[in-house]
Amino acid sequence: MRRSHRFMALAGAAMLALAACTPSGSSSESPGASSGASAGGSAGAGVTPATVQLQLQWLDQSQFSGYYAADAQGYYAAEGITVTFLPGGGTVSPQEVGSQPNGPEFSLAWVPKVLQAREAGSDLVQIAQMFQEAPTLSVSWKNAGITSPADFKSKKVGAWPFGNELEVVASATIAGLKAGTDYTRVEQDFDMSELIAAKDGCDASATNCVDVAEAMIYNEWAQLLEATDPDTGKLYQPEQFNVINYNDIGTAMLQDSLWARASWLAEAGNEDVATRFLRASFKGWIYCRESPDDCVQYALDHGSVWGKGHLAWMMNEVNALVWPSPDGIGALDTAKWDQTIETATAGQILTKAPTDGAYRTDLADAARAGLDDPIGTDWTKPTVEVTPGGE
Amino acid sequence: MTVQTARPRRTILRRIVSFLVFIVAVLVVWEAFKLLAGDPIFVDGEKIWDPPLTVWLATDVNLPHTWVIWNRTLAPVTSGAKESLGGYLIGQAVFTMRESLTGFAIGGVLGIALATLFVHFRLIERAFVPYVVASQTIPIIALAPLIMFFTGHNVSSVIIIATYLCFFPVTIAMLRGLRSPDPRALELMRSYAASRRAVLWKVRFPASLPYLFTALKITATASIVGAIVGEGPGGMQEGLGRALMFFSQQYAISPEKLWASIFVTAGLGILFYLAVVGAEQWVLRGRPQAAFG
Repeated sequence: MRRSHRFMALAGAAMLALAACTPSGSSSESPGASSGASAGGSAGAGVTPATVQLQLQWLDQSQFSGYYAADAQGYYAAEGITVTFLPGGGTVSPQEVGSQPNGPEFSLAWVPKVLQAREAGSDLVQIAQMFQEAPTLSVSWKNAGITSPADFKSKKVGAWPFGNELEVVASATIAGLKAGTDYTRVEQDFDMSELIAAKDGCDASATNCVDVAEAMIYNEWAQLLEATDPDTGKLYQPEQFNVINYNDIGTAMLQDSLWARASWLAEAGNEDVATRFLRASFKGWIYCRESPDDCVQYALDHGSVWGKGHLAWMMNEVNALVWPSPDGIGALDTAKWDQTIETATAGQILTKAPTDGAYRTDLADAARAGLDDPIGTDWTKPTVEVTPGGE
Repeated sequence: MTVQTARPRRTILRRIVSFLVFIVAVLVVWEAFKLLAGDPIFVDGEKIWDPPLTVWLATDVNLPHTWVIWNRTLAPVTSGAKESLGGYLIGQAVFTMRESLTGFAIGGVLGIALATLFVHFRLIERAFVPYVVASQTIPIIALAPLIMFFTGHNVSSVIIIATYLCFFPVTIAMLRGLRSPDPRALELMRSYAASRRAVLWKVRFPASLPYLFTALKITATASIVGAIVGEGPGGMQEGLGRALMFFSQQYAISPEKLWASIFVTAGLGILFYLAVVGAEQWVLRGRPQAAFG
């Protein structure tokens, strides 16, 4: 008898635990994650309110501060839009998440990997091109003598997974090198420790190092410069590295564009929602151009645990990728689109050039109309100093 | 797991002391290894120690000094923040704990229910147990995107993953436990013309408890693993999974942050495990030790 009572007590406790923990903590409820309706006044008359999700390309950081600013400054609210931000990172592929029929309405992703997804059946359409320049670098130690993709020969070449490697891989293919036979492709960690480990050379049999590492100019490049050389106790210096910038060698591919599913856009009223979303987002980026310090704080408010110094560097570099936008913010430079396609097909990332419909510019054009200085002609890149440890 | 001794307080004290001795030993070995084979130590830019050997594993990137990890834990999580790294990590651990506790509870109830069903209906057992087993051969990383597809990106997807990792050990152990009563006890109940329900309640369930707790000890830690794995693709704004992802990205410049996160994650697992052990000792108090372990 007594034992069955104990069992009852146990079952009761389990139920209680269940009731107590049944989550109220859904992601959209955490502070700062969704639009503050009070922040931006009421939506204009005749505007249908909409609730949308934006899938980000990576973990929360100042790469996305323009969208955070649009939220915090009430630009989304003024357009009658409530936005929930879905952080990326790790195994999250925005192009796959965004392709799902019940996926987020908007996704921020790089052009080549979305075009790959389109070849696999995705109906994502580019509605705005945010970065006018590509941020990918391949970084190596000076003594390794790697100054162009042709020098990857017989080297261990680091590149990330999940479609973030395509520029590196395509550029090597264009240089006539095949992964596996001509160079070793290493699936790189999401930090720079493998390149740091190669400071005194990287043995072919070693598993902890790469000869050349992929780096974003706004993130991993800064990580290298924020790291302390254990031999000297001082920070690493830019002069210690060779940097391949894919913009310079003509195989850069476009990154950070906004995508929506064609099927979603086809539903009545959604093109209007997309235009309003773009208008508010563009305003957010204009805000970050003028007030980068606020935008660093917005990234912190969204739960980024990078140091302020690192986020300030990132904000500055990201501003330099967005501004100036010669044809206006969010405009697609078709010459750069063509270069992306050329690199992707020659680099065997895509089997053939995409047919029409992979991008449309009408929504961004409509969203941009009437904005105050959507080009940023007078913007010049300020100098932001590297801080030790990114603190 | 333990015998209730005549002097339980002393046993507990002895355990605490031996645990502390173990921790100190680990710290001593850790630092000795670094002194021998790690990176040079600088104080105010002056090199005060140059280790005789160089071993990759002992460098500051791979194995930071223990005091560096400790000091970082007390320092603000980001420059100028009011919250310390330790406080931040505990906050994330609480979030993950809620997800994993929910998965643990649902998985436990589901496992008990399935086992109870199987033990009474042989046909159902034969039909479904292979599928229960097969379900566990699918890697969770393959299943996670599928779960997100059905639930969308929210906390329920994380809980489903934690539940998925929890229900199986409970089902299998409970099935065994419900069959474990002494046949003579079952015969006695039959001679009383006891109903199936009475047999289940008075004989089978009590006999199964030691088996259940063995399974719960496994699922206590499995539920945390499930929650952490699910947090990434689930798009959680909080949680240890997200913290681990953030700090692994910062590993090259501040490895101590990831180390601190790992210690907090391990601490959460140990805490959860000890809670189950405590519940076990309370529920099974007075039973001979041989019955469980």
